[in-house]
Amino acid sequence: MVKLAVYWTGACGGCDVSFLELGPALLDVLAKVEVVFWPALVDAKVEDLEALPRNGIDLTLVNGTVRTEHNVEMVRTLRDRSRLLVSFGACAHMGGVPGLANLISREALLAEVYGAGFRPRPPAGGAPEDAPTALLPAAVPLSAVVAVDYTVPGCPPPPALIGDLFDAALSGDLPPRGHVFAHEKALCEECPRTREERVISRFVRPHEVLPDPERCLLDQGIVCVGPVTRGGCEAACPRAGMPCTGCLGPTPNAGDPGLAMLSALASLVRTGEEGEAAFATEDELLDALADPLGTLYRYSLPAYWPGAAVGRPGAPPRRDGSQP
Amino acid sequence: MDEPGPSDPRIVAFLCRWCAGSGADLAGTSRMQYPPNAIPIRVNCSGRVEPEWVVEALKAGADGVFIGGCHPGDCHYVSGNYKARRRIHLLRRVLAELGIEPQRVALEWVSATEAARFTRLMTDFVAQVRALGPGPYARPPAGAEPELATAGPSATATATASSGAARPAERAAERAADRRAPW
Amino acid sequence: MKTLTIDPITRLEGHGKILLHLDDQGVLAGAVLQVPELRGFEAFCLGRRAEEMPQITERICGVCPEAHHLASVRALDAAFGAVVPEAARLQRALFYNTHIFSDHLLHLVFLGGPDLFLPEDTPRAGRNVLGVLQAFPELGREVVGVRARAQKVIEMIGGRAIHPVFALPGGVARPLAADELEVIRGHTQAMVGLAESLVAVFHERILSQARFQALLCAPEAILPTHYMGLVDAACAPSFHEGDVRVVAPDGREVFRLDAAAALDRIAEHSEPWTYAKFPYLKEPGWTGFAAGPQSGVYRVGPLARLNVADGMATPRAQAEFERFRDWFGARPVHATFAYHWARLVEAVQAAEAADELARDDGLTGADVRGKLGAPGEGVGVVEAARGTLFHHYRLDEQALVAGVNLIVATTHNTAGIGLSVQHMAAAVVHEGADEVLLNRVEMAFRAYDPCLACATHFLPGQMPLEVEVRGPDGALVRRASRAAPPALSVPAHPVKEVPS
Repeated sequence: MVKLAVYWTGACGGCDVSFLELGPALLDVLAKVEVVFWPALVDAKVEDLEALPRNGIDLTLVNGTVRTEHNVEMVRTLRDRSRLLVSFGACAHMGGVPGLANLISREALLAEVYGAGFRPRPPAGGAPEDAPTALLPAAVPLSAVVAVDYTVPGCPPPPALIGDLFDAALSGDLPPRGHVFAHEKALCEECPRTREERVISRFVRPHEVLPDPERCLLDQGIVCVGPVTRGGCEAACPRAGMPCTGCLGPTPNAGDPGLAMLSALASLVRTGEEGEAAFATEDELLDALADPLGTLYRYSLPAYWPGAAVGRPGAPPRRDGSQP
Repeated sequence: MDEPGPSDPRIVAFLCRWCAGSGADLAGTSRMQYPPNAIPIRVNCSGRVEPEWVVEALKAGADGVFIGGCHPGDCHYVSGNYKARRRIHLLRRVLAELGIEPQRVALEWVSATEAARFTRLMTDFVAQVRALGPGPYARPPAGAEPELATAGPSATATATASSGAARPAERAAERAADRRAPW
Repeated sequence: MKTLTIDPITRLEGHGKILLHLDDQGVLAGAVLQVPELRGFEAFCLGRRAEEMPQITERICGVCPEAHHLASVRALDAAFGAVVPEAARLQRALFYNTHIFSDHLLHLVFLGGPDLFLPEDTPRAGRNVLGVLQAFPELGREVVGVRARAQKVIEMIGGRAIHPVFALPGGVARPLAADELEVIRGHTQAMVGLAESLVAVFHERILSQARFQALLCAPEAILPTHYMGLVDAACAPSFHEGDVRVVAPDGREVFRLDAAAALDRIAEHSEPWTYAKFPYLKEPGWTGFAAGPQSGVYRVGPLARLNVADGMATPRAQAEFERFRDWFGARPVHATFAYHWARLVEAVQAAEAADELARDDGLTGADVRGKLGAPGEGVGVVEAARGTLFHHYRLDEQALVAGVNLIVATTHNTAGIGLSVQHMAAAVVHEGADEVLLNRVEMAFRAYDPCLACATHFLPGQMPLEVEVRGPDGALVRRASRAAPPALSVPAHPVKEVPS
């Protein structure tokens, strides 16, 4: 029996629910595992977790953005007790949608909501450790805090990729450490739409046009980040008539997906003949790209723009606020 | 060449081998004086410069990035410089929204014979970057208290992109405060 | 002073910790519900493209993304002054009823199910969905299979099963094909079949138990509050369109309004000792943490929706609704554990409604986008499984988000949840409390099917709720009673004001 733990940090719950998308296959998986810790589903408490020995858990899947001190403590405890630790989902992988909060400093957020000089405190009658956990200065991906063995990307991960992980883990036939359970090639490879010579003469927002169902969305001026995103989801969004927003993360060749896509878009934008005479129109066209950060870094801002970071990766701040 | 002092800006310069790089070489052999702050990197074309390299330079501690390419119409590969121009245009927007002054990244056209032009452009750029203060991921000078290059750009960017609103000293202090995690 | 901690609260959506403080006599001196999550959606949505909001805000919750997806697009429809064409309206309706069925199923079996289906003394290791599936293997298989089919319907219309992508201001992304609709019809039929099985199992194995009946009647779980829910023209519960209706504890209608007007009747109260805001009705206003007709505290969710409705929208649901009403005798029903039964009644309506909608050939209509006006301001409201959900947006002239306010289901219920936990704790917790009793406190909380991921979307995010039992002079009182407590009200805790 494989001892399994599933944990969430700053999460929406979608990754936990995603296991249910395996459907009846889930029952087969559950028959082969012993769930030792999974707050969404079973009643094991923190003291049960802490009582486990090192490597007492065979496989731990962690989803969610690491956003609070408590998140850091829990994932370090889990890392210590686990033989294998997996970044599960876009938040753990790259910071996820809540990573967009890094555009606002923590101090500015707290000051705006509670006033200057705000400090979390325990409720009356409570001990100091009952104070609400403090926010980290910025949201970070899981790998910024603990060593990660594998990644299953996606928001949430598609069932096929979850299945791949469990096939490998339950059979013991694991790929090299660091493997990302998704395709190496870009989404475009599995997208059914046809691609022609690409020129973007105008950026079009999804609600402005009913797109041709056969043609590549980028060809139609709709910003789709499929070219820099891993496949593995069967191009679900383009099939549904909507552009890819990049949840599976960048292909190995893309590097920083936001900058890679930025470069691609700049190359594709054309108003006819290139040349000095076209510069002004080109700039107008480029400036019409709405919300570049939210579009290019929807799930990945903390991974590629670590702002007001916690400190040396793997070393969260001490309780007294000093840096290690 | 001496290591730039702690208050001098550190510049990374991507120079295309056909035009701007040759112009820079000519300035050198002509003994034209310009500030030595730039670390030159030769590329085949300004169109080869990936936005990711510019950002990597900033994350490595550069205060400014200079890209030199051929004049419009003169690109050895026909249209590489046009791509570069559009890329840098978009990159500057992204930097601004992240609270990094877009003026830290320059894209200039310099031909192989324009040694004087290169000299002037580089002198002006160094002054401009110096006035902006340390870059978003600037490291302290060697010998100072070791700090990790983990301080992000001042995260006071709002949706309305108030780029460069706070003065450099204040922003550096903000970053230091962020690192101290005051709770 | 001894502290018992339930950490984490399990089988709910999100993070939670309950701290119970006992005095030297072992009597409850204080109970705190603390939710240590914070993500900050209302801050980082500023500057985003309006049409992306359905996909961004749904990341607030992976259990009810469909609710946020639809509430968001309804706010955008209003902000753009769009009229949604019939084919798009039908797609959204079919999608959403299917979601409600699936979400209720999730709670009935996976989250709250262990509390309902398993004996109370089940040890912690077995008190979970796996225990339920073991005890009821055939039902378990049907549940897993039909839920997969419901999720398939959501995926076919929404594009993805979790975090759908299809809603756009004024309509939906694309038309539905006839062959897709054929497949969907097979699935919705299966949903109705399971709904019938669940009703049978509920009556045979759950309602028949004295233990469950005792829970339904437990005095510490009776909370006479106002109720809020969406209703259609016939005053039946409607999940995704209609008017917001509020009734008083005696059942009298307080108002029935559209989304924007309803939002205007709600204010948010804050206390210096807690980070959460507590929505309340401006009429009758905030009088403290109390139930009753004079208090503006109201509840949302399945029980509330049944309380504001005159009947159900579909036949099998109506039949079950009548059994529900007959069992309690009175209306509205104030018993908190009745949420579970109400959830079942709604699941039946959602399945039937989805099946009925699936038969409408208008679903394959090609016109799926209404004309859009200039971007402005709009409010959208839907009923998430857990209760009323408001999205309110202000857009700038480039259709970027300039202002956003979200009031989510569980937030409406924060005062109610706090009162329920408080009453339950006072009644059952004592020194040396064992597993069963601690679980009872959690059960009170879990009956609401709280979505703490939703409730913590906003910047404060944390919901410590402090309860102290004080005497008339304000000093801490020792309370030993296990009988039904009088309506406990919580005086404001004497701490410094948080500077604003």
